[in-house]
Amino acid sequence: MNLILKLAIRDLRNSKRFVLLFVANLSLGILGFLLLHSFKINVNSTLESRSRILLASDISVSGRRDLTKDEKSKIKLYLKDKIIDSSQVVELYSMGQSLKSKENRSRLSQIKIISSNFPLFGYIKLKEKGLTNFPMKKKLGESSSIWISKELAHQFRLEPSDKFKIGEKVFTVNDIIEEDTTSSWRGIGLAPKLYLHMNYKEDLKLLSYGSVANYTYQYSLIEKYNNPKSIEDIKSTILNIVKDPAIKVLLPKNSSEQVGRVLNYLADYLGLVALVSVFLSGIGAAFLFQNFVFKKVDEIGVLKSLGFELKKIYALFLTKLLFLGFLGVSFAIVVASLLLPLAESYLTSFLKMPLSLRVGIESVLVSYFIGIVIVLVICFPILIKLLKKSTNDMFAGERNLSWDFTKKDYLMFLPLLASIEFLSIWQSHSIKVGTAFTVCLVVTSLLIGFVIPKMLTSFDKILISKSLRLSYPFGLSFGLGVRTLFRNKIVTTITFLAVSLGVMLLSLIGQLEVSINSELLGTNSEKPSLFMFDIQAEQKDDLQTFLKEKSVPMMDLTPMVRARIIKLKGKKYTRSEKTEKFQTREDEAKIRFRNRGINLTYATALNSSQTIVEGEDFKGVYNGTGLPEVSVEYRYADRMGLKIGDTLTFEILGVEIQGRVTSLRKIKWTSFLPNFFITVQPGVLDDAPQSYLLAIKKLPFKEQLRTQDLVVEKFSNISIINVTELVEKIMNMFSTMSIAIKMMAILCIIVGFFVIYAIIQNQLRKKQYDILLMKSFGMKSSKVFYLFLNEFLMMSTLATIVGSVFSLILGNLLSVIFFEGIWQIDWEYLIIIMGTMTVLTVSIVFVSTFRIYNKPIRELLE
Amino acid sequence: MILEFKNITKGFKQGNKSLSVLDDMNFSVEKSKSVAILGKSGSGKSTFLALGSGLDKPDSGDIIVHNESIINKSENELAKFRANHIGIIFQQFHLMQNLTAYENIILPLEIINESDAHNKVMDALEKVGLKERMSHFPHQLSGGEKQRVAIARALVTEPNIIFADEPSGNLDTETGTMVMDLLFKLVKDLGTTLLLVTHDLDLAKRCDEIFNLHNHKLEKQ
Repeated sequence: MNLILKLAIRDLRNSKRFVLLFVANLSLGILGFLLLHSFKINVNSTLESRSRILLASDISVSGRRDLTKDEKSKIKLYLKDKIIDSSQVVELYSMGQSLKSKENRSRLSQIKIISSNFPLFGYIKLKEKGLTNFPMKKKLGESSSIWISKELAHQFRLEPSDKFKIGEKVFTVNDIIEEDTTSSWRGIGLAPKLYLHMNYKEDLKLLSYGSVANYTYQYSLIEKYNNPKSIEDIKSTILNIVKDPAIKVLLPKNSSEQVGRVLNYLADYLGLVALVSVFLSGIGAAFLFQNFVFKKVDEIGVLKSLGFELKKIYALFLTKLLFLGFLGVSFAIVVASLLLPLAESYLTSFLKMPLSLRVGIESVLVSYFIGIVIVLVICFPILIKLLKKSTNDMFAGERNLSWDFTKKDYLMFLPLLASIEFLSIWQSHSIKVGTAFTVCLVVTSLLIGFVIPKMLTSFDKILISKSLRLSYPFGLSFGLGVRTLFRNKIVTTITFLAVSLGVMLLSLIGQLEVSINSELLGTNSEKPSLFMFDIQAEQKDDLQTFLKEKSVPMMDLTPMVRARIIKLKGKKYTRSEKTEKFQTREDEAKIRFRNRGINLTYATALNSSQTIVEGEDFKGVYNGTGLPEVSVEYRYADRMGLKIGDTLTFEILGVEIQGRVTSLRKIKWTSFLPNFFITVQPGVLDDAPQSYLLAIKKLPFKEQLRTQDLVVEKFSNISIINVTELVEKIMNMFSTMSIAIKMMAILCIIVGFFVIYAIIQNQLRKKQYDILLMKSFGMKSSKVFYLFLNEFLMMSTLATIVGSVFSLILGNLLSVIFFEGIWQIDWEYLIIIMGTMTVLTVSIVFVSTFRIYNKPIRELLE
Repeated sequence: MILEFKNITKGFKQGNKSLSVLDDMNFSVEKSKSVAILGKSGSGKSTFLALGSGLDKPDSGDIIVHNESIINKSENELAKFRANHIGIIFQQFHLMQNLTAYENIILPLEIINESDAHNKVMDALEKVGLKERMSHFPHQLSGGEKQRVAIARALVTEPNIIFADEPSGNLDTETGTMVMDLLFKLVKDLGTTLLLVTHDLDLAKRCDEIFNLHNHKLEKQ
C-alpha cells in the first residue's frame, strides 16, 4: 500500500501540468454548485433560526375564513393551560387612499389588522418611536392611527400625521416602519404594507362574506409544551377540532419553509445549471485523464511486466483520482470561501434577512462526494478499457494506441448516467423536472457525441477527401484546419459538447426571458389594465352604471362563490400533511393545493384565455336533472387526482352541492383575466352568496390611476389590482432571477472554455511536432497560427450555432410544456452570444498557442 | 559546393555551464554526393543537421547552401528557403496524424504553391511503392511504410539537399535496409545531395564520403 501511495504521489508530482489542469477544471466545475449549495444551506438555516420570529408565535391557526365561534371556543378551551399569550392578525388587500392630494391617491395596500400583543415573537421597529411595545400598540387602537411601510410612505408621499383612508375609515399616519421581523422576502409583493389595530376591524367595513382575507390566531406556548413532540400533538389536536382542510395550523418550521419556497425554487433551477458545469468539467476531466493514462501506457506495461497485479494498478490510479478529486474540490472550497462573503451584504439587503454566507460543513462534504464520484464514474471506464489491452500493446506506446470504444463499452458509463439522474432529481426536488433535465442533457450529449463524429466522417468523405488539394477550398491554413477538425473526432466532439452546452444554456435563458417579457407585456393581447375584486352583490349594478357613465371599458362581471370541498370522488376530503421524508416539489404543490380554500365561479361560455383540453363544454343552464357539470383547470385536476366523470361535493354556507367533472380546461394565466380552478355549470350557484370580480379593458396609465381614484371614492371596499404595475413587478423579479441563472450559465461557459483550453494545451503537446514540421517545410508562423485559428474558430462557430439551434428547439419545447406555447426569438441576443464566443475563441487560441511558435524547430530532431 | 560550413561554432547553456558542441568547424559537400556523418550519441550530429538545414543558427561562422548564406536570413526567409532547397527525413518519421499518406506528401508542395502537385505526389508514391496506400492515415501504416511516406515527402519538392537523421533508427534491420535502399536509389536518380546522420558504420559505408564528428569537429575518414 505504501508503494502505491508513493508511486501515485511521485507520478502526480512529475505531471504538474496535468494536475494543474485537472484540478483547475474540476474546481471550476464544482464551484457554482458549491456556491449555490452554501447559499441554500445558509438561507435555510437563517430562516430556520428565525422561524419562530417569522411566524411571530410558537403555533398559529390560519385560514381564508375566520374560525367559527364553536371552533374558537374549543381551541381556547384546549389551549387554556398550555399557552402564555395569544394574538390575532387579519391580513387583507384593499385600496388605501391618501387624503393629502386630489389625484393618483388610491393604491392597493396590504392591510395587517393586529391585536395589541402582535407579534408574540420578534418586533416592529418604527422610524421615530423605535421599538414598539404593548402600550404603543394599545394606543394605536385608541387613536385611529396606522404604521405604514417605507414603500407605502414613498408611494403616497406620506409623512407622520398625514391622513389615509382605508375602507370607510380615515386614519392618521403615526410612524413609518423601519424594520419588521415578521415579514421577509417572498418574491413579488402585491402591495406595500400597513398596520392598524384590531379595534377598527369592523369600522373598515371591508370584511363581509366573500372578501379575500386571511385570519390568523397566534399562540406562545409555556415551556412545558414548547418541545417538538408536544407542539406536534397540539397541532394534531387543533387539526382534529378544525377539520376544514382550508384551515392551516402552522409551526415555526412551516413559516421558514413558506418564506424559503420561492428561493428554493430558484435554487432548484440554478442547481440544474450548476450541474451542467459539473457535467462539462467531468468531460474535461475524462479528456485530460485519457491523455494522462495514454501517456503512461508504456509505464503501465512496465509495471505489469514487473509483476504488478492488475488490482494494484487499479488501486494506483484510484489513489491518483481520489487525490485529484480531493485537490480539485478543496481548491473550489477555498475560492468559494473567498467569494461568498463578498455577496453577503448585497444578499442580506435584497432578501431582508441577516445572512452570514460561509461554506458549511454539509456543503463541503456534499461537494467532496459529488466531485469525487463524478471523477470516478467518468474516468474509471477509460481506465478499465485501457487496462484490458495486452502488455505488449502497451509497450508500443501512446502513438500506437487506438481508442477503440465499442457500443458495449458505453455501458460502463451507466453509473455516470445514474449519478446525473440522481443529482438532477436531488437538485430540482422533482422527479419530473430532474428526469427531463437528465434526458435533455443526455440526448443533447448523445446527439453531439454520436451524430457529430458521423457527420464529420461524412463531411470529410464528401467535401474534403474528394479534392486532392490540401488548400481546397479556401487556402492551405483552412484546408489543414478543416481536415484536423473533421478527423480529430474525439477532440472536435468534446469541444463541440463543451461550447454548445454552454451556449445552449445561456441562449435558452435569454430566449425564455425575452419570451416571458413579451408575453407579460403583450401589446396587442386582451390583457386588462385593472382587476377589481371584493365587489359585493348589491354593488355590482351601481358599479357597472358608474363605470359606464365614466366611459371606463369593462369586461363581463365574474361571480365568485366561496366554498369548501367536502368530498372528492365520493370520499371524504381530508387535508394532507407534509412528511419529513424527501418530497418532490410536485408533492409539496399537491399538498398545498389540496389544503387550499376554494373559490368557485359559474359561466355560460369560456373566456378568451380558456380552452377545453378534455371533455366537453357545459350543456347550457342546469335544469335539475342529474349532477351539475363542473369544469376543472387541468393542472389542478392532476394535482387533485380528478378525471372526467369524477364527482366533487362542495359546501357553501352549510349547503352541500355535488357536481361531476365534465371538462378539463387549460387557462392562460398570463392573460390576467378573472379565472378560477373550478367553474360550475350556470343555474347551480346563481343564488349562493357571492362577490364579483371585474376586469377593466386596456386603458392609458393615467386613466388607470384616475379610475382607481373614482372607484375607491365611491366604493371604498372594492380592491383593485393594477395589472400594468403588477406585470412590471413580475418582470423585475424575473429579470433579477434571470441574472442569477445567467451568472450560473456564464460559469458553465467558463468551464466549457476551460475544457477547450485544456484540450488545446493537450493538443499542443501532440501538435507541437506538426507545427514545427510545417515550419521546417517552410510554412510561415502566421500561417500556422491561422491554421490553429481556423480549426478552433470553425469548431466554436459551428458549436455555437448548434448550441443556439438546440436552445431554440428546447426553448420552444419548454414554452409548449410550461408557458402555454409562447415563444419569441431574440436574434440580437443570439448574434451577441455568437460574436462573444468568436472573440473568446480567438483569444484562447492566441493565448494558448503563442508560446509554441517560438519553439526552436530543432526540437524535431530531439 | 552545395553546402559549406565556415568556422562554425555552436554551444548550449546547461544551467550555468556552457557546453560546446561544434567548435570552429569547417565542412563542405559537393552537389549530388552522399555524405555520412558518424558520431556517438551526444557528439553533436543532430546539431550539425539542424544548422545545415536552417532549423537552427550557429553562434558564429557562416553556412552557405546552394551558394547562399543562410545565417542572416529571417525566420520567414529561412522557411521559404527550406521549402525550395531542403528536404528533411526524421528518425521518428514525424508524419501528420490527421493527414493521409497522399496529403502528407503533398503538403510541402502546397506550401510552395506547386501547380503540378498531384502528378508529382503520384510519381513519388509510385517510387516509394505506396500508391495503393495513399488514402491511409499514419496510424494505419507500418513503420517502414511511414518512413517511405516521409522519404517521398522529403523528395517530392526535388530539393538540392536531403538531410536524413537516422532514418532507419526506428525500424527493424530488414525494413531499415529496404528503406535505405530506396532512399539511396531515389537520391541517386534525382541527383540530390544526401547528408545522412547515423551511428551505423555499415550504413555510412554506402555513402560517397564519411565524416566522423569527434571533439567538436568533423574529420574525414
